[in-house]
Amino acid sequence: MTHSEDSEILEKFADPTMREQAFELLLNKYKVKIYWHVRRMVIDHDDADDLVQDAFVKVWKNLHNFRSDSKLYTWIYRIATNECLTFLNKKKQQNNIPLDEVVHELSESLTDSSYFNGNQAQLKLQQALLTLPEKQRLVFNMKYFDDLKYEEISQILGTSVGSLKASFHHAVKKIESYLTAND
Amino acid sequence: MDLHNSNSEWQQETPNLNAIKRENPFIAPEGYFDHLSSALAGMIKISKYTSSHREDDGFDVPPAYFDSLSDRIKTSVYADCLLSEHRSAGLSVPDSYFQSLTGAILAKTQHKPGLLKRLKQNMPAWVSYAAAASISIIVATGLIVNTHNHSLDSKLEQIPDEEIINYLKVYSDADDVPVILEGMSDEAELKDIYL
Repeated sequence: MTHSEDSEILEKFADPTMREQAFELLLNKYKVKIYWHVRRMVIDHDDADDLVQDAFVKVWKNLHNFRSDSKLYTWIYRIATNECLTFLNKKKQQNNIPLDEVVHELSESLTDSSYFNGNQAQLKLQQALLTLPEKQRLVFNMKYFDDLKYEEISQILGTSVGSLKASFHHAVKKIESYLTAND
Repeated sequence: MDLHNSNSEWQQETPNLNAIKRENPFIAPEGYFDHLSSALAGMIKISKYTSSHREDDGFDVPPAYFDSLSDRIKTSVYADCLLSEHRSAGLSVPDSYFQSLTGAILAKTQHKPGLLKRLKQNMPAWVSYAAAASISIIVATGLIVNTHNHSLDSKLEQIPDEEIINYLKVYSDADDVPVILEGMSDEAELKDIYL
């Protein structure tokens, strides 16, 4: 399936009569990528589904303000990432539980989930990822699974490329240590 | 590990991570992505009606309304404070004074017998006795004077003796003599009438 160019989507969206059609093109192009990005952060499918819908509603409401000085997909990633971080912070505050327990809860939902199809090694990798700080987990996921460039991640997270490289380096080292210890 | 080199650099130093198949281990429910677009279209339709955006909710405000709103609120609050200070003029009343004031006024206006009773209670006992005695003396004197003024004797006393004597000389006869004798104690008076 070929996807429309971002410029074409934006051009159509600028025309009030074409707005809904433009948004449908945008959804077809980005919904799967954004879903997996969100899903890897919150683990549970239902939470991911809610957050993806909220993120795209925000995209719809704010797309008329979008300026072409950044790429459309990094802008959408940024909105989805903020939704994830807000959700995870709320989860910590509402339950008033320490970070370790949030990690434990996410890890349990990982093993209980009927929507996890990985082998033992992949499960262990996901458990190792849950031990990382959220920022490092985000950087690792976007680099390792989505294969984004540091410059793109920099636009999404608003962090310098150098800082992102350091984050990824620390994440990889911790994961390797975890895998070695739990071999 | 050189962070500034290619992505594959780190893989050589992480054999455990490198051994893991690099693919997405999660799955989504069957047909999820087919339904996601229609679900989102529904959400967006709803958001059009629930949005607080000015263009969507149909409400509007005068031009530059929000520019001056802060100043107008501040002015209004200041004016209210100033008015409150002016009204009290630095004086204060006991707590809850105005709450009880209405009740106190109504109680005073609706229980007039209480006022009379209190005056009576405050008056010394001798005053009421003295008043009663004065009234009795006045009434008695009036009765005496009135009775005295209207009796036969008092009227006769007002008539000069010479006229009475002249009247008896002209109009009395032999039958009146015993009555005249009873009323006359003085012999001289009798002589004046008949001699």
